[in-house]
This record gives sequence, C-alpha cells and structure tokens, in this order.
Amino acid sequence: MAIVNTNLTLIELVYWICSAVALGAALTATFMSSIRFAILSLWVCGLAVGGIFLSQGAELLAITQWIISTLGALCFIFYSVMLGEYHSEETTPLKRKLVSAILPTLAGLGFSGVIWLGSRSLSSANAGANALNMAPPSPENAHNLATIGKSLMDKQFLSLQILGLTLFLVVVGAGVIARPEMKEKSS
Amino acid sequence: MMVLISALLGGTGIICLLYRKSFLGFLIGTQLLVLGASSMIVSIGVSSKVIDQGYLFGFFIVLGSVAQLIIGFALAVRLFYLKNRTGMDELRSLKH
Repeated sequence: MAIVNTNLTLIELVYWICSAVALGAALTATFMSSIRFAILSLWVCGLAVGGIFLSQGAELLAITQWIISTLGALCFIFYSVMLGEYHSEETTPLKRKLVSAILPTLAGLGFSGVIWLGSRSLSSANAGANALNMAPPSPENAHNLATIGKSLMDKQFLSLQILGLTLFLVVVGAGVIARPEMKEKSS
Repeated sequence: MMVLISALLGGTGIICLLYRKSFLGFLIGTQLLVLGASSMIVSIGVSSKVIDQGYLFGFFIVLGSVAQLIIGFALAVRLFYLKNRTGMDELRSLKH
C-alpha cells in the first residue's frame, strides 16, 4: 500500500534498495579492517549493482555482473587464504586509522563531486533538460536480449574479438607472471 | 541522481585504493571503481536514450575488469614468491 501511496513503482523501489545496499557494502568493503568482511561486502556490492542493472532493463549485464562478482569473490577468498591474509586484521589504533582515512575520503568525495558536476554540465549542454536526473526507466522501455545480441554481433564485432583476444593474452600473461623462479641451466 | 550514486560508488573505490595497505585491498578498490564506472555508463546510456550502446559499453567494462583482476592476482602471487608478503610497499621491488 505504501508503494501505491507514494507513487513509487516496484522497479524504482528495487533500484533505490539496490543503490543503498551497494553504497553501504562499498563503504563496508573500504573501511572494514578484516579482509574476510571486505571480500563479503564486495560480493554484496556486486550483487546490488547487478540489481541496479536489472532495474534499468539490462538483463544480460545483470546476469554477467552476478556471475563475475560471485567468481571474483571466490577468487579473492582463495587467494587471501593462499597468501595468508584471510584471518589477518589491521591492528592500527583507531585514532591513527581515522587520521589516515581523512585524505582518501576527501579525494573520493572530490572525485564523486567532479564526476557529478561534469555529468550535470554535459546534460544541460547536450539535452537542454536535466536528463540525468530522471527516474529509473521501466523495463518496458528496455531493449530485449535479442536486440543487444544482434547489436553486439553486428556493430561491435571487432570490439568483441579484441576483448576475447585481450582476455586470452591476459590469461597467458598471468601464467607467465605467476610462474615460480626457475634456475638457469648451466650450459 | 543515478549518476550521483554511480559517482559515489566510484569515489568509494578511490577511497579504498588510497586507504588500504595490502595488495588484495587495492584490488578490492579497483573492483569498486569498475563497478561505479560500469553503472555510470549504463545510467548515462539510459538517460541519453542510447540504451544499447550504454549496455554494450558497460558489458565491455565488466569483462575488462576480469582481465584486470586476473593480472592483479598473478602479480600478488609473484609478489608473494619474491617477498613472502603482499604489501603495497613491496610492489616497487617488481621493477628489478
């Protein structure tokens, strides 16, 4: 009933809930001293961003985001256990932590402010109206999966090939970087 | 408002990049930054009525973040081989 009274559609409600969860989880992942909870928060943040994508009608992107967030969180857990950081916690005193967090917080807020002001000026210059402040769109306006796939294969085919080649090279390069030191054979 | 939320998400990533002392914390910060960037691209695409391009660009950013994550983990393993720990200060030793 509250949804009807405030004229808030279900899609908008999902959007705002996911946004709040994403921001809260991102802050937790940033400032939590335990790496375990930071990884868990990053996973929750990725799921919430996938929810944001879903509320904007991007089903393919939402599913991709959920899969990558889950696999990424698993990799983070695996590597933190392997590198001995899973149970580690920062033992810095609270006062020193607060002092060391001031400059990064100012930098992050400045970054967000610059991006937001830039997008507002771009919006007013290009569209005239305040287009970037619009409410989240309903899924009826979203393009379906077939359109996205057709556009991906027709218009962005070269980009897709380059992305695939990049991922292949990255996997090979990661194997080379992470190889153990080999002693040179004496000839 | 959509862009503001994405910008705040990316700003949180910047904070994490500068605040965390370990390499895995640094990777968490880059992931948050990529999440903010992809959601911003999608939001701008929706707002500017170029929905397809926004989705596809966000798709490429998300998959590009996978490449970044793979290389980050490989560097962490390399760092652990060389220094037996994965602090950010030890990254300079990879140059030599």
